[in-house]
Amino acid sequence: MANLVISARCNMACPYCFASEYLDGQSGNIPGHASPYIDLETFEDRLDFLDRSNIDEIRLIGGEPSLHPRFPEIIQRAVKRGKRILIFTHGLLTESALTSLEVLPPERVTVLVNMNASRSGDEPSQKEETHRRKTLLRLGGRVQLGFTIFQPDFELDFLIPLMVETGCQKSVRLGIAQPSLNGRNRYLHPKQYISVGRRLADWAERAGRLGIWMGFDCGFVRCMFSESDLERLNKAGAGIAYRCNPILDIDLKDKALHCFPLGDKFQTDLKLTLTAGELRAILEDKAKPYRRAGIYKECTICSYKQNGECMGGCLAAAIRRFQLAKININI
Amino acid sequence: MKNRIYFCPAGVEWVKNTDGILVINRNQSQSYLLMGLESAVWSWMSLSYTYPRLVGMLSELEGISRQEAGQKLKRLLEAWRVIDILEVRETSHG
Amino acid sequence: MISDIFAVPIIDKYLIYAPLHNLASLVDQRGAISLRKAILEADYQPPAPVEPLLAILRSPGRAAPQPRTGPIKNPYFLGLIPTRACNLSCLYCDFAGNRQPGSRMGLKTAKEAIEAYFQLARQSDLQWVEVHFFGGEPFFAENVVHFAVAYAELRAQELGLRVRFEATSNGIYRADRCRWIANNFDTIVLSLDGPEDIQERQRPANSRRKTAQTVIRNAKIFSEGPVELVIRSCVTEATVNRLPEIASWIAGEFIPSTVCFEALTPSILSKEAGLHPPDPWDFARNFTLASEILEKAGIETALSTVVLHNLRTSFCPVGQDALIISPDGAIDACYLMQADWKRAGLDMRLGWLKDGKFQIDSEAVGRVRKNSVYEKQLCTACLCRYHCAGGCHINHSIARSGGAYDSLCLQTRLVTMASLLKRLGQESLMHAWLDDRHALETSAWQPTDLLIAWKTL
Repeated sequence: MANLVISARCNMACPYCFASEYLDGQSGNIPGHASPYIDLETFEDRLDFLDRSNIDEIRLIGGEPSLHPRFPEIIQRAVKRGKRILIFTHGLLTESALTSLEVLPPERVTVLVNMNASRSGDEPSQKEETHRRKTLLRLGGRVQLGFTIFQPDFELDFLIPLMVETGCQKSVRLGIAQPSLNGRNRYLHPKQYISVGRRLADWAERAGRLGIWMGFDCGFVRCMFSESDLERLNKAGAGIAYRCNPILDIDLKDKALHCFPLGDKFQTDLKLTLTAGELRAILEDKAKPYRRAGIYKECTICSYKQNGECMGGCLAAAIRRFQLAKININI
Repeated sequence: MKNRIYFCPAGVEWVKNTDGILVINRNQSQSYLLMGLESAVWSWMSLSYTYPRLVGMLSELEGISRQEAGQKLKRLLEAWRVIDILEVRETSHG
Repeated sequence: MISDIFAVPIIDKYLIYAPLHNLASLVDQRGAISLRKAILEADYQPPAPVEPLLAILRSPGRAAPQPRTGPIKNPYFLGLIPTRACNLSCLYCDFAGNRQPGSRMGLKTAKEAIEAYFQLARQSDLQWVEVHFFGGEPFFAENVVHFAVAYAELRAQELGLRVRFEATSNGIYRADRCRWIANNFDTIVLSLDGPEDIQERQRPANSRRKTAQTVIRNAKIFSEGPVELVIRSCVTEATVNRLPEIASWIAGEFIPSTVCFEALTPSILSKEAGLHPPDPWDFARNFTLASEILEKAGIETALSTVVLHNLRTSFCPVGQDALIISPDGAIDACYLMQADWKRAGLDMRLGWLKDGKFQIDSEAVGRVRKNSVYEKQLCTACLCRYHCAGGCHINHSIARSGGAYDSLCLQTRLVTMASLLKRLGQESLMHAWLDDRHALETSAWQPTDLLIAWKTL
């Protein structure tokens, strides 16, 4: 897989956003800088890259991808290449964006809507909720709901009536808000993971009874769940995973990043001859020295990490534990 | 009289874990695990302990004389210099 | 045992609590009467609704906790007091810290104490060892702490032991020192009474310079780092009604695992400063409100005399074979000052660290272990007996008959009852009860909680 940035702009102000810091430099707000949107020729190059890499799904990200002024054309070009489409969006889509997605059969497109995105940085406003609901109603089964956990007291119950009323997929993709490397965004601290794990298990019981599937994005860890939490999650059929690996976020400047939280710490050039697998191998190699550590100091002796069941949490969160060595000894 | 100043070059990062101190030289993509005595000395060095103070602590830690502790410390610093997690510069003094 | 089944009225209901059976239940008056009859009269046929409760109460349950016996094999922890001195003049200090001599523990003493403790642990086949640091302010003698941690880690690795470090601290140090603590300690108990105005008023520096911002900055460093942060907040008459505000502030600014709200224990210093303990009724109500705020943020709230997950015979390390080493090498069971023990008519001295070995007087150990809840008549009929266990042996006088509760007892009893109600999912009842002073007094003041001892229901 590979995530392609098609827009560095976003019109939301989610407090937990870990992409904004990296993309601010590409936003095109400064005169003389390149456009904050991918041009179509470059987009075709991206499609070639996916073909070369034998990837038949195109994952569009931003900023907010639907803000691209030629978004419908982007979609058409992807469809023409036979790609299945996955879009990460805040869900407040324009009419033209909605129309371009509506015409696609549900099996060819998934619109992952971030349900706690907001302009104010607080809870979504009534207007935002209404607009988002409209997207869900129009796109129905093409929509999967997403939720980013950035504080310990979060609520997921509001998703249930939405799934019922709008006909969107009965599944939720859950993400933990991870820190950008300078930690300026709001994120869930690893110390808060256990209480979040318990809360997720509580919700899983309710969700499972209603046939709602829970998927876990990267950064979750095995030890955030007690045995009883895991039992409840498994009973609800949750797709638990304890991943961290190069996502392959490809920005507007032909850089392939490990992921946005890590920013430019681990990145490589998107050479036209390389495949996604080769790029991933390069980035894994760069990150390798840091992989021994995890988000907790105990990760280095943890059997789950040693046997590969758990990656030790988000590498960006783990790297925030590191400090620059400031040693100076005068003999 | 020459002073030797051992310092960390740019790009050296470290973190304390349960099994020891992980030191990474980012420029060389190399990592090293410091355990036991090495971990203790690195930890004290990160607190900006002066050389005499380090020698005193090491002497007590190992139950050896200050002279022996000084020699041991110098060997350790040199070993770290060899693997590029420390650099050294010499200055004239007096 | 039927002497460990307690009942307290909660408005028009009865809270039944049997800690040895891990049972808490809410029944009506008829239920309480039936239970009592069924326990006392073998041929009484109870109504069906109480039969499940009776089945549990008639089962063996766990054995009541007992004081330790025999030689010390498994110390609760090794305590090191690097210094009794402190850089603060907290208005309620138990130690009158800044007035203490500034003697420091030598590195040799720290090394020998750790070595002796680890050898004891090895002999007892222990896998985990704990080293706790107290004061005064332990980091006021920072080189002792830096050394002790390094030595303990080195030896633990060599001996195949896993070591945990904990310290109780005032939080006044440079940021780099604070980061070292955050990276090297497992738990830090940080004294932080509240936002700046409270902190400056109650915990001023010796120099009278402001220190709240330093403590707050360091609390954030601890929050961000791997160390478990426990915030200990002293509550006074002046601050008790601000507990919800303090809780919100803590939840918004820091990431502690636990916040301990402790009512001020009156001392010579606190009286001189015009600080008074909080009203126990206000304390119980506001503690509960504060805990609800903190719970939403995934933070536990604790009162040291209310530890429901554990049954114990002593409230503190005394009687649990903690070995606390003073700068001069004395081995004590308690980290308070010897003058304070003497004032309370107690002797907490266990022995001396001599020639690298613990020289422990077995008679002293026996004497110290006798400080258990079973010696405290006041506690016999109280539902908190296995959690509070009579409170601090030094500072809480228990030379009173059953039912003669003081402020500490009252707030402990009320918070225990509130916690049990919450555990039962009875939040509405709990809040109604906490808002009803008469109901609180009825619950708290009853002379005996023992169900079988009630003369009327």
